[in-house]
Amino acid sequence: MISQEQLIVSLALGLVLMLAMTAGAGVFTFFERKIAGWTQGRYGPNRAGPKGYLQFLADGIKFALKEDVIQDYVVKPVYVIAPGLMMIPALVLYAALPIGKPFVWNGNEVHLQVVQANVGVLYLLAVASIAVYGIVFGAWASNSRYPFFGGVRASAQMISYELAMGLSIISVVLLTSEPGINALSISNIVAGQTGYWFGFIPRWNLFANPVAFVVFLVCMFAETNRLPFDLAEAEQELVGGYHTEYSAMKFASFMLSEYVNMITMSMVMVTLFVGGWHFPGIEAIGSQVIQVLLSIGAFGIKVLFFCFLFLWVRWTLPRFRYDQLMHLGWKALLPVALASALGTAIAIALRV
Amino acid sequence: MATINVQRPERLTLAERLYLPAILNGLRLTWRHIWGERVTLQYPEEEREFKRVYRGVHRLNKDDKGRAKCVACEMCAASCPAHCITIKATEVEWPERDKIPKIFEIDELKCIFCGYCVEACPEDAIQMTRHYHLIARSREDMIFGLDKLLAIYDETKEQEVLRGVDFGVIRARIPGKEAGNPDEVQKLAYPVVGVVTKAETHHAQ
Repeated sequence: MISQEQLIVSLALGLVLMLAMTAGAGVFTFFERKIAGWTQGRYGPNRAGPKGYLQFLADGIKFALKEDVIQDYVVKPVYVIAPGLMMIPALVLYAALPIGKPFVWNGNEVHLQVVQANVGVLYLLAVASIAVYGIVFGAWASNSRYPFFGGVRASAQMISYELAMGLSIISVVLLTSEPGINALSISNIVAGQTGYWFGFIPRWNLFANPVAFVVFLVCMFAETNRLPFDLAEAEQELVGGYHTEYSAMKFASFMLSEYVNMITMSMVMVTLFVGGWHFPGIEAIGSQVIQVLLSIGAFGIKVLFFCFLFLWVRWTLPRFRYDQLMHLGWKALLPVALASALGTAIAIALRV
Repeated sequence: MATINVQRPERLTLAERLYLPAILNGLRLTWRHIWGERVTLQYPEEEREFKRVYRGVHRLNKDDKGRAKCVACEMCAASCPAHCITIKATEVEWPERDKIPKIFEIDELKCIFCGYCVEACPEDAIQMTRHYHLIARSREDMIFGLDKLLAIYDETKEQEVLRGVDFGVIRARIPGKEAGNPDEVQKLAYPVVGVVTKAETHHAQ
């Protein structure tokens, strides 16, 4: 039974996060273009509003006012729901993630988490895999060759990388597991990362198992269909990939959900590997309010770093060839992730 | 049977096959670029500055009495490969010349900016400025008449522009022709010298 305080916090958090994510995705598109410019020695968009910061509003208005073309040959019901199907997983994934330190309110412990699922890790994996349906449905319903290729590529890629991703998460679960602790609960995973080694290195899973961290990092890019793994929309080969036939707001929601996905995957990354809301020295802070606020801030800064990493990597690396992608997924990441899971298990068995 | 020995690429080292060192190198490079120099020219606020050999919008020079120098000899119209110059002459009873242009029109849309008119002009009356903002709302507006060309002269009076004699220096670079002074040629060779920032112009919103 959840307490009244927890209910209020959950509802408020759900609403705020949903709005913040959609707005954040819009701002994200602006920074994507800015960083694209900076890495190429340009300025990026700098005309709309002060220093160009209103560019994302201009983009949004433009998308909203454009003609929404629905071609005669598309499978209309599927075509129309596909952008929504892509958006929904992106917007519900973060529900299981704690964004700040749990605190005590009226004698009840309150978690800064929309849903305190006791199998949160399974929820993450399940919702992340559903995300591909939006792409596949959109691609199939478009009834056109290039989108179809994009959809096939996206689904094949998702399957290949989900395995390695799941295995790297298993390493995390193993690291958290202790007798009497539900290691599938995400708040426990974060709580398990709050200690220190030798008194100063935080017990973040990133340091406990760097191999799993790297595997997850690579899979994170593949799962969000970002460069260097954006074969689903490789514009040189497939025009626009799965969203070739989409226009106006439908296209915009595909686009936005890509960016929302990036934010949520950064949040998952931070939660599982970089200690979530934990930062070194949090225990030394006396006041509970400041502790909670700083923990939310620490979480936000870590998420922003990974969001930046997405952009940084995108404008650094060229796209993988399709066979290289499959090679990397099945022949490199999968064995490495397996070995890392096995190694973690052995290490824990020896320690206990 | 003939065999062809194919040079197989050497096997990659472990570090190369891991991709990661190369990726980190790439990230370092783009990181430097993010904080590095911007090469974009902010056009309405900044403009390229050209050397005087730049062949931009034409002007008709004025003499010391403020009249067009042109004597309506039609040498420029004759040399124009695009046939964009139209001249109608009228006779005058001035001590130094007996013909001036009544109509002098250059169709800036037809013009190919070759500069032959400048080279042909015996009076150094037609010259090309460093202006390159050629904007109008209609094709008719792009036909510059006497008033407009003289007005451009007033605007660009201070500007040092391409002269007919410069063509001799430029021609000298062509093989078989008499070699020009290399310093002179170098001065004329590449037209871009730098960037002028116009602080007073507003942001084009």
